[in-house]
Amino acid sequence: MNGITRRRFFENCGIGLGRIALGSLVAGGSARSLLAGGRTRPPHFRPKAKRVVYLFMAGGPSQLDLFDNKPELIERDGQAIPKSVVGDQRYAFINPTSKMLAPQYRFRRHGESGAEISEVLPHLAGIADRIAIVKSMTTDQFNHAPAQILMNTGFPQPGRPSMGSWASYGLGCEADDLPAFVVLSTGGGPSGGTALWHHGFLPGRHQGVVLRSRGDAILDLGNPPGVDDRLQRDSLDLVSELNTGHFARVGDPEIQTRIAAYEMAYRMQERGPELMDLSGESPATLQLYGVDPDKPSFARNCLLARRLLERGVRFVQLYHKGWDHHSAVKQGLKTQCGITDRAAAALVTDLQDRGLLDDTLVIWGGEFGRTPMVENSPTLGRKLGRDHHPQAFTVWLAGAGIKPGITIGATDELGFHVVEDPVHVHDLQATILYLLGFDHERLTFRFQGRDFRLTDVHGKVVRKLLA
Amino acid sequence: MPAQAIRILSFVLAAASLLLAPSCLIGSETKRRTRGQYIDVATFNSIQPGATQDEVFERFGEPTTRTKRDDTELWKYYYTEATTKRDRARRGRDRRVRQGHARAPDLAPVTAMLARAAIAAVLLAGVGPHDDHWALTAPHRPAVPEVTAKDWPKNPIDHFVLARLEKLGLRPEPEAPRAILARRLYLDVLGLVPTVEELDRFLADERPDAYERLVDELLASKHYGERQARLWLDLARYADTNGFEKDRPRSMWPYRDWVINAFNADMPFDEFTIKQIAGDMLESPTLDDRIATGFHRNTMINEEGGIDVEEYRWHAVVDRVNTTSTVWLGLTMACAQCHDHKYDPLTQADYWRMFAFFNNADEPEIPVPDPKITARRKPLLAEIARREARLADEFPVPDNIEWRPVSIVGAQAHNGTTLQERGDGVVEASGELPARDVYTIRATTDVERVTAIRLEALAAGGRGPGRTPHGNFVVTEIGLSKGTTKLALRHARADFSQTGFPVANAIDGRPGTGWAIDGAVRHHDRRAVFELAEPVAVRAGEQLVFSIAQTYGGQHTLGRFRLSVGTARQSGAKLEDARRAHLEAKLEAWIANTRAKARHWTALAPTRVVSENGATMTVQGDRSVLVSGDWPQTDTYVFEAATDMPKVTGLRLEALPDASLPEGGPGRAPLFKPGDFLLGEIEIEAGATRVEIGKGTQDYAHSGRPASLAFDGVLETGWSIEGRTGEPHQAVFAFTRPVVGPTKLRIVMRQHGIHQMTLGRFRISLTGDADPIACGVPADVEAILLDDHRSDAERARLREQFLAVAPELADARRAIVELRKRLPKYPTTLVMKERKPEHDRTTHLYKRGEYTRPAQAVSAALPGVLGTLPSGPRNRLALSRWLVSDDNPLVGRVVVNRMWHSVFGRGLVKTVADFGTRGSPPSHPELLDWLATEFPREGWSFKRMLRLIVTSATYRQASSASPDKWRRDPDNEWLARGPRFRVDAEVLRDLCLTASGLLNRKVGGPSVFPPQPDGVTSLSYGAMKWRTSTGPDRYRRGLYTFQKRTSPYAAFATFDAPSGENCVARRARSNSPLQALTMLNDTVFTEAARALARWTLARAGTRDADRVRFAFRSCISREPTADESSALLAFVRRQRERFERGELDAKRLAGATSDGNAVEIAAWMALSRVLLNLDETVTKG
Repeated sequence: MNGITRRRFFENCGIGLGRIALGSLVAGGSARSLLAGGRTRPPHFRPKAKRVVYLFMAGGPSQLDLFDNKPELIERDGQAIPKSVVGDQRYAFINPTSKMLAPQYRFRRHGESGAEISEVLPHLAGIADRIAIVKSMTTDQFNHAPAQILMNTGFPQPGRPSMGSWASYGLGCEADDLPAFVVLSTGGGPSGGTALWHHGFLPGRHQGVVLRSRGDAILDLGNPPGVDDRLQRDSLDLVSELNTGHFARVGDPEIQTRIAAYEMAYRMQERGPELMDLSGESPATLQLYGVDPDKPSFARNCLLARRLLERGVRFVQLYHKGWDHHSAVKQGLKTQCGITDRAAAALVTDLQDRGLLDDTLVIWGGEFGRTPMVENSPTLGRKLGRDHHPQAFTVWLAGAGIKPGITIGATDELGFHVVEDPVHVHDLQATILYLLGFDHERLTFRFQGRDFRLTDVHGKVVRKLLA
Repeated sequence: MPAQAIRILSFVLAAASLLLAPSCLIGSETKRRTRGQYIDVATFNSIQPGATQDEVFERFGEPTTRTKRDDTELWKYYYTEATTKRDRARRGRDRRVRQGHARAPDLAPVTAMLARAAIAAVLLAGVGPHDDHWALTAPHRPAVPEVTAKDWPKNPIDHFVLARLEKLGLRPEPEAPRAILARRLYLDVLGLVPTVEELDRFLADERPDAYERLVDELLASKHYGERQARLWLDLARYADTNGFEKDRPRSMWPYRDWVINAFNADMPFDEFTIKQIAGDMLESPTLDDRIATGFHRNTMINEEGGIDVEEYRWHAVVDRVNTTSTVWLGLTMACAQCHDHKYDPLTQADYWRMFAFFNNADEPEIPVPDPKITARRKPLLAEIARREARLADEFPVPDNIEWRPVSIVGAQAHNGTTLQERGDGVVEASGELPARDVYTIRATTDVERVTAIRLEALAAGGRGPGRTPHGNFVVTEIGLSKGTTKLALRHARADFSQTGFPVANAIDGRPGTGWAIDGAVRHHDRRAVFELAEPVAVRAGEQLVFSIAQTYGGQHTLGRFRLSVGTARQSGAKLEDARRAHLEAKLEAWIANTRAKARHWTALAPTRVVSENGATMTVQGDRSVLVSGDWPQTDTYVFEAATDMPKVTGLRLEALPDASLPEGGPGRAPLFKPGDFLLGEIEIEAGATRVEIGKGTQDYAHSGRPASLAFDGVLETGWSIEGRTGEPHQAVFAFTRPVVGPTKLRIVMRQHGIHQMTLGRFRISLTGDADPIACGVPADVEAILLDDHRSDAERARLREQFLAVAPELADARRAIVELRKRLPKYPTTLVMKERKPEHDRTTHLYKRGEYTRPAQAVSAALPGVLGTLPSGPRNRLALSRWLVSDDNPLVGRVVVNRMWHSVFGRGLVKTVADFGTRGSPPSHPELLDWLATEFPREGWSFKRMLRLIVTSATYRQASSASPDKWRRDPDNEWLARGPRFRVDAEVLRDLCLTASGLLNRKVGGPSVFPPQPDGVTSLSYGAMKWRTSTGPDRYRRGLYTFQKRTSPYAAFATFDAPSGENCVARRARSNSPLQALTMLNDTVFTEAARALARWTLARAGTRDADRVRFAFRSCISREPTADESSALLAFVRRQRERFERGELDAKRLAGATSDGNAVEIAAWMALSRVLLNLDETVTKG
C-alpha cells in the first residue's frame, strides 16, 4: 500500500488493526508498515485510561435517597421549601412551592473512607473504598432528552458527536475485530435516542455500535439464511480478487480500503458469537454479577461490557432506563437498585481482579438529580415522588487515574444547590478526555467552518478526582 | 493595512518564529505540533517580495490544506505555553553562551525569512479587509481562458479546467468508455443505474450526439426530481418524526413531494427559494406555495412533558437562521449566536437581526385536500346527511307493538354450532365454537300481520348472552324472509349498544359492522327491535326465516336468544302520525324542563385579553376569543371587561369548538388528549375585590374533573371535557354574593396541565338571574328558550337541538357518529404562517446566545456586511427575494458549488458550507464565478446547469489514473480525471434494486417501511414498531423510507445518510466493515441478490457465460473482462456443485417459491451477492 492508501485506510476503517495479517489482502503491501499507523491521533498527554465503561442511569436517579444524605430534610419533611432557596428555577412538573420530602432510605458510612451510601445500595457500599463519589454535579437541562444529550454530547440539541465517538475519533480502536465504541441498553430506549451515541458530524465509523440483545449481536453480523461459512469465505475471496484486479486498472486507493474493510467484517463475523457466548465464564463470575447467561439483563450487559473491554473496545456505553421516579420514589429505587446495584459493583470488582481496573475508567450516573421537594399530582396520579432537579446530582467514578475512596463536592443543607466544588457536565467530560490523554480544548473537529469539541466552549478538568 | 491582514501577519510572525527556531530553542513537542501545518523554511526562502498570488500558488501547489487548526487556539498556545518554553530555552542558551559552551546565533537571515514568510502568508491566505473577502464581493464574469489543447474542451467549463491543468503540467484523462459514462450519468441525474436494455439502447445509438440525447432524456425523467430532491432534503433536514424524546411521527411528505415536483418541473431557483422561505406571504398563495414553506418546518419539536414549549420554538428559529445561512449564503452564521463571529464580518447583533425575520411566524399543520380522498368522502358524507335529515323519522313510537314469541320449526348453524330450541321462542347455542357463524331459524307464528321483529339476547347464570367468556356477541347482520321473499328491515333500536357497534349496523348490509353490547354491565339481557319497511301478512303454517349472521370473528356468536314478532297497533300513515305526536310531546317536555334551567346571559366584549405565555388572542364577531399562534405548555389568560349590569350573580364560561383546533377543540392539547383542556383555576375580580364563587356547574365534565375544581385553590385540579371534544361546552360559576355594577371585571384563567392543555376558543357571559347554573344546551338555544315569541327558524333550532340530545335517538345518532369516524382524512403537512403585524414578536439579542438571557430588542435586518434590504417591509418575504437577488454575492457561487460537489465529490470550494474567511479558497475561482453568473443567465435552471456540467469534457474523463496522479492529487482537486466515489446510502439501495429489477418506480406519496433488522427502532424512546411494508412498497426508492430521527433506518445510517437533525451540506463518506456487513447480510441486499438471480435466469438465456455477462452488466454496466468472466463462471459452477451435492440447502437461499429451480437460483444468487458487493458496484466511477 502506498502512503495515501495507508492514511485513508486508518482514517476510514473505524476498526483498529491489531493482529490482522493484511499482507495477504493487498499484494506487495507490508502488514507491518500498516500496523505502524494504528492510532488515529496521538494523545496530548500520557493516558491514564485505555478504555471507558459508562453506566448511564437514564431518568435521573435520586441522589437524595442514594448518596446525598440530608438529615435536615427529615426535620423539615412536609414543610414548604423556602422561596429564597428555589429562586426562579423552572420545574418540569411541580410547583416551586412544593413541600420537602425526607430521605426515603437510611444512610450509613462504609469502608475506611467512610463514604455515605444509602442502605438500598448494599453492594456498592461493599466497594466504597474503590470509588470516588461526586456529590456536586450540575447541569443546565431539566428535561430528559436534552439533559441526556448534553451529558453524552456536550450540547443539549441532537446532532453533535457523542463522548464515545470522540474517544473513537481520538484514539482509534485496539481491537481488530470489534468496533471502538459499543452501546448496550436495558430498561427500554433512553429518551435521547440514538443521538446519545451518534457520531454527529464525525465520520460515520465513529458511531456507537449497538450490541443487541435479540437477533444478531451486531446488526447484520450473521450470514443470510442458507449461506454457510465456506460460501461466505468463497464470496469474499472472489470480491477481493475482482476488487484487486480493478484496483490495478483504476488506481483508486479507496478500493484497497474496501478490500480491507470486507476482511475485517469477516473477522467480526467470526468473533461475534464467541463474544456473546458466556459458557466460558466461571460459575463464580456469573454469581458475582448475578447473571442468567440466557436472559438479557443489566447484569448480563455488565458482564458483556467487561468482555468487550478485554477484547480491546475503547468505550462501552451501557444505558439503563428506569430512574424517572415522579411517583413512589422509594419503591422505584428499590426496584432499580435491585436490578443494578450488584452488577455495577461486580463490574468494578471483576475489572480489578483481572488487573483491568488500572487502565479502565468506570463511571456511574444519570442526566440530572431529583428535587428535595415531593411531587404529588392528583391530575397525573403521582404521589411521593421527586421531580427533575438540574442543580445538583451525584455520580461515581472508579478505576484508571481516579483517586479511590474519596467524596468530593457538597450541597446545601436541603440538598438543593451545590455549595462546594461544583462539577458541571462539561467538567466531567473534560476529565474523562483528560484521563484518555486528551486536552479537551484541543481534541477538535472542523465542521461547517468551526472547530467543534465535546465540551463546547466550557469545561475544566476536575483535578481533585485525579489520583 | 487592514486589521485582518495585521492579525494574519502577526500570527505568521509568531508561527514562523517557532519554525525558524528549531531544536535549539524549543522542545521537540513544539516541533511535532507544528510539523506539517505550515510551510517549511526552504519554501519560505523561495518566495521573493513582490510575488504574485499565482506564483505563490504554483510554488506551493495546494494552498488549501495549509491551516488545519483554529488560529486562536494556536495563538493562545504560542503566547502562553510556548512562550514560556521558548523563554526557558532562551535562558538556557544564553547561559550556555555566557559560559562559552555555545555561540550566539546569527539572527539576520531569520529576520529576512520572516519578512518573506509574512508576504507569502498574506498572499496565500488571500485575506484582505473584511469586506474584501472574495466571497463577499459580487462575482464578475471572467473571460473564458485560452488553452493549448484546443480540441479538448467541449464547453467553457473545460477551458477553465484545462487552463489550470496546463499550468500545472497535468493532462486530462481520455473520455471514459461509453458504458461507464452512461452509468455515471444515470447515477448523477437519476440516482439509478441503467438497465441492460437501456444500456444497449444507448450503445446502439451511433449518432454523434447520442450522449447529449441521453442527457436530455434523463433530465426529462420523473426520477430526476427524486435524485435532486434527496440532495435538497439533506439541506432541508427532512424527517418523518419530530425528534427529541417522544419523536412521534409527523406528516411531512407533501413537502417532499413538492420538492420532487419542483425539480421535475425545473422550477427556477429564485422561485424555488422564495416559495420555501416565504410562500405563505405571497399574494394569494396557492396550497402548493404554502406546502413549500415546510422547508423551515423540518425543524425538530420537543414534546417531552414539562418542557417550556417557547424555548423549543426558539431553538427551531435558531435552526432556521443557521440553515438559511448555510444554504443560501454559505456562511457560518451559527458562530455569531453567542458572540461576534471570530473570523467573518458577522456580529452577534447581525445574528439576532436575522433571527427577527423568522420570529414572526406561527407554525400550523394544514390539511392537503386530495381529489381521490374527496371522492371517497363523498358517498359517506351523503349518507351522513341522509341520516341526519331522517333523524325525526327514527323517533320511536312508544308501547305500540304487541309482541308474541315465534314457534321455532328448525334452527341450523352453518359453521358447526349446535342450536337447540328451548320453547317460548328461545334458541340456545352449544357445542363447537367457531370464529364465525350464521344461524338460520325457521319459525311460524299466529300473528297475522307482522310489522316488527324483536331479538332478545338472554344472559343466564353469570354467562352470556354471547358465547365469548366475557359474554359479548356481535350480530353483524339480521335478515328476515318469508318463503323466498326477503323482507326489508328499518328503524333498528336497542336498549343498549356498545360504542362503535350501534344496532343500526345490524341492518346496514355491511358484513364488517354489527351490534354488540359490551359495556359496564356484563351478562345482561339486551333487546333489539327492527321494524319492517312494509307490514307483511303471514298465513297459518307459513314459515318466517330469520338469519342471524356473525361474520365479525373471534367467536362472538350469540349463546341464547328469543325471537318474537309483533304487530303495531297503528300502521302506515297512522303510525307516522303517532310517531310525530310522540316526538312533539317529548320535545315540548324537553323545552319546558330545559327552560327552567335557562338564564339570561350577556356576552362580554373584552377591553383587553392576553395570554401570559404569548399565545395570540383574537376577539371574534360573536365575542368569543380564538386562541392561535404560540402553543405554550401552560398558560394563564387574563380577560378584562366592563359591565354596566346593576347586579351580576354568576359567570358563564363557554368552551367552543373551532376548525382550527385539534379535533375541533375546544382545547388546544395537540397530543395524548387532543382537543381537551384543563382549567385549573378561575379567578374573578370586580373592581379591586375578589369575587367569591359559591357553586360550579357544567353541561359536561370528564369523570373526576368537574368545574367545581376550577375554584378549589388547587392549580393541578380543574375542569376538563375529555371524551366530548368537537362540541361546545359550558361551565357556570355562581357568585356567593351578587356583584353590584357597573363595574370592571378581571377574569384570570390558570391552565397548568402538561402537554399544552389550554383553552382554544372561549366566551364569557354574565347573568343577573337568581341561581345561575349550566343549562346544558348551547348558548343560542338557551336564549331561544327564554324567548316566548319564537320564529320558525328558532323553533327549528330547538327541534334540531332536541334531536341532537334525545335519548330515544341515541342509537340512530351513534350510527352517524360511526360514519363520521369512517370519513377518510386528508393528509396534513406542516407550514409557516406569518403572524399579523399587530402580533409581531419582539426579538432580542440573547447574551451568550442563551434563551434565558434576553437583552436589548433588535429588528429584522441583513448582516451589515451584506448591505441592506430595499425599502419596504423587512420581513421573511423581503429576505427571500434578497437571497436570490443580484445583491447577494454568495448565492450563485454557493449553489453551483454544491451542484459541482454532488457530481465531482468535491466542491470548487471544498468547504461547501463555508465561504467565509475560514473556508477553503476556490480551486478554480474564475470557473466558480463564471458558473455563478451563468446560473441566473440560464434562468436559475438547475437542469440547464446540470446539463452544462455533465456534457463537459471534464466530466466525461475516465476516472482511472496513474498511481502518480492519484498521489499528486488524491482529492481530484485539479480535475485531471473523472469523478470516482462511493454513492450515497439511498442511491446504493436504489441501484441494487434497479440492477435486480425489484425497484418500484412509483413517484411520491407517504413514506414506506422497507425491511430492516428487528429491533432497530426499539432502542429509541417508546420503542416504535417498524411495520415493514409488504408488496410493492417494500421496494420504493430510498428517499421514501420513513425517516425516524432518533433511530434512523439502519442501513442508511451505516452509509452516512443524515438523520435530519441538522442541515447537512456535505455528507461524510466513510468506508467501514459495518458497511460490508450490511451489503453482505442485510435483508434488503439479500433480497436484491435473489431477485437479480431470478432476473438473470429469466432474461439472459441458458448459457452460463451469457448469464454472467448480463448480471455483471446489470450491476456495473461495462462488459466483464475475460479474467473476470472466468473467475465468476468458476465461482458459480463451484457453488452449483455444492448445492447439487446438498452441502448447502439451495431452498433456504433461493426462498420458498423457487419451484424446483432452487439449485440454479441459489447458485446465481451466490454470484449476485458477489457482484453487488464489488467496489465498482457501490462506486460511481
